[in-house]
Amino acid sequence: MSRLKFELCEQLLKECYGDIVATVGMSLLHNKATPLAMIIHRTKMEAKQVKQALCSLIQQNIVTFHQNNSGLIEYSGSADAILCRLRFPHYIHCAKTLFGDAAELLVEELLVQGRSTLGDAVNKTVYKLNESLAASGSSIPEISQNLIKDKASILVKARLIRRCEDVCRDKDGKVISMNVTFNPELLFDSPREHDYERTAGSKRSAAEISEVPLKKVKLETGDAASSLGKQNDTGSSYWCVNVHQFHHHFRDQAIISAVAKIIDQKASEVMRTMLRLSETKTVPTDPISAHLSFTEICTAMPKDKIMTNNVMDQYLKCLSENCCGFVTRIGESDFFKAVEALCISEIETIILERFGSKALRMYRVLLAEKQVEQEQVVEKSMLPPKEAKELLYRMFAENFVTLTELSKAPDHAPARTFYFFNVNLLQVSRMLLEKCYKAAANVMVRRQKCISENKRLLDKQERVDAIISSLDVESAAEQKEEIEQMVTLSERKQLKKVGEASKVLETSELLLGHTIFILEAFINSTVRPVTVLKK
Amino acid sequence: MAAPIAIVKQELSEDTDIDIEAKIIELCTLTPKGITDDVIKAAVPQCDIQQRVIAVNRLLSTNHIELMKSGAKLLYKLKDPDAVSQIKGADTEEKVVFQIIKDAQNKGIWTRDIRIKSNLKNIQVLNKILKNLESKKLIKAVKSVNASKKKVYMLYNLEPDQSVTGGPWYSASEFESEFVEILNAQAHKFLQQKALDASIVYPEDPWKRLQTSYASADNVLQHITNLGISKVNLSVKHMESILDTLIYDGKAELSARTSGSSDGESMKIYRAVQPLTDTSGLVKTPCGVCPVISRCTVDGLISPKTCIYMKDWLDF
Repeated sequence: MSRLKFELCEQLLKECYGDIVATVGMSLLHNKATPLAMIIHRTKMEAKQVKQALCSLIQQNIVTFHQNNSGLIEYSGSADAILCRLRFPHYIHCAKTLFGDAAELLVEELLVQGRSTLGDAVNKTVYKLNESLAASGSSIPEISQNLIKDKASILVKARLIRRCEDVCRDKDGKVISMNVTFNPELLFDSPREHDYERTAGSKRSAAEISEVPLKKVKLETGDAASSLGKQNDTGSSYWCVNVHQFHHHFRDQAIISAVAKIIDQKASEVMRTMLRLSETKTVPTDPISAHLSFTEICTAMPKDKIMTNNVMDQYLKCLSENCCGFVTRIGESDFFKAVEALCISEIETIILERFGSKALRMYRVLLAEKQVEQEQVVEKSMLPPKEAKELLYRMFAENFVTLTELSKAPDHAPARTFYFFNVNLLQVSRMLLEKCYKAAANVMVRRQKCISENKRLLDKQERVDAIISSLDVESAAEQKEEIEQMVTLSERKQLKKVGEASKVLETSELLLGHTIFILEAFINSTVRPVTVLKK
Repeated sequence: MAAPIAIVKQELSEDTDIDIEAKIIELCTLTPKGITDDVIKAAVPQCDIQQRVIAVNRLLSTNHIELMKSGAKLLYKLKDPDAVSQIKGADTEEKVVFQIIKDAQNKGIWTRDIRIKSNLKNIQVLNKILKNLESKKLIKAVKSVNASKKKVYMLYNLEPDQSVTGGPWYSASEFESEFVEILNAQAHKFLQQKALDASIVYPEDPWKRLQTSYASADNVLQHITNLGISKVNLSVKHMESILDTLIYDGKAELSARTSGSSDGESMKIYRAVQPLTDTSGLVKTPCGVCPVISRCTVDGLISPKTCIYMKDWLDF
């Protein structure tokens, strides 16, 4: 774990959950598994505060806990779970594009709550939807709960939301650790009626009850044991968002858009169909998808985009011939190669922006030829030698390229040594990932500073807006103008500027999230096979 | 009895002398690197050592062959008749230097190497000889592209080798990057146009469209020649290296196609492509291109709170 990653985590925690939670969270990240007393000691905060902070961290799926050998409950945090927060807007948008507004609200609710019963989430979604319907004054009848319940089942089927892991208890009924299920299918068990029933009867009170035991259960204090009986028989009834499925979806999206760029829109449709088919068939961690037959793909194409067999055949041929080997002839798509190609392309755009097109050319020479001497790089890239050398050394200085020394004699004298330039993709992506973390943290710091500097102005604007909206429609005109005048012209300008600036910062946060995703996907898929071998 | 035999022998020996000389010259022409005494002995077994010595001596004195030393052995080598005529009146040192330069052919030879080969210890003497030869227009000095300060010498009438001049990409030993860039841009434009045409002709036929969007180096070369950009004659090889730069730029893609002829050799074909992804989010923030990012901390002198790059970026 790197310092920069932690810094970004700290910023994220601070922004989402405040300083206390951030302190506790960071203490956990820095120290791996820690018992409660130790956290209290390290953070020098009150026990109550620490407990509350832990509660919210567990609620947000950031902290897990287990019992160690001497019987103490140890808590540990996960930096990756925190970093997922960068992608929340992506998740929500993804749910919206896939399954519509109701799914969007459901996912949003689950993301904000961290984990919640399905009944609560459905109720809140129904409430929100109806509220917005009422606000817009449309004549569409109220949306029923059943509709949203169906949506929820669809989301579960698409594996976008899942059950939380159940908790383990010792013989006294004390919660001691998260239950690690080895059968992932259990987590996607479709919601049964009682998943909704719990809170369906009396909305408010039930929601409150379910909130309380959750927190208590997660704490090691035994006094929650009384309310445990209720949960024991049904297994975990809490649901959360399955980020992995979203990540798969993002990866597929990236592949599809790459195909659209290389060939055309229709080819990307074929690719989309193939990926959708393989989604249900393939084990998520496999580097290649399940084999797909021609007819399978043909029949699975969406109805409005259906194409003749001949055209389909041609598209598949194109896909397998081009596209850096995304699709092979057997009819499978190679995720690893695709992710690698995407990552390389990402790195290339970074080099293009940072060092210019000439440097990019040399970089690609290095990528293509693996081990290259300086003269060869210059010759192949056909650049003026002096400029090329400068750029190459700059890339070397900034760790984008590496150098291998191969000496003919044991004395390593420069005259008798070959110097080969090369690119270590894994290393470069790790370095860039660090930079992304840093940049994301920086952007967040800057945004907070921007907002806190203009806090007075923003508050004023808010108050004015509140007054205006509370005024009656009829009596408004004059009064409204008067109140609006309270914000002066220069203030208005400043406000606009702040708004634009924070919009720019937020957008770049999202974009950074995407880059981080691609780089992480590449690193994970490259590193994983090695660890499997070690086992 | 004795006299006629002696006469016969005399006649025979005169005949054989000429024979031997002819034979030696013939052998020398066959192996320009030089022949040893053993080779001559094997070729004319009927003569004794005396006759061979006489023959060789005569050839040496008439400047037909020259004597070289290779290790412990002596080598006989044919002397170039042109060289003989060209540097008539020159002294031996000049002859030696001239011969060395001649051997270097159109690759040229560096002064230092001449000095080592000729065993001329005195640099001034060598410089004088070179100047002499240059003024007689027997040799010329050519600047090498590999090392700009290195001068190489070659015979006056030779066209310098590509490794010396650097081919069409160099003029006066300077790399013509602009020329390369123009060719690169034109080739890219040509490939793009080809892809565009293909998408108009075959909107519904992806495979055909793909195939027609490819162009071979020949096609591109033809296009470039028609445009008349290049004053020098470019070969297909040159064009390929230009197209290679396009591939390295990420603007083109290489594929192979078996050529129509029966030899089954594959032909390199090129196609314009787009990059796989949009510009990365990292470089859309100032941090992505920040030169001091490694020294940037929240509370430090360089901090995102006070960063001037950020300020400029957000102020538009």
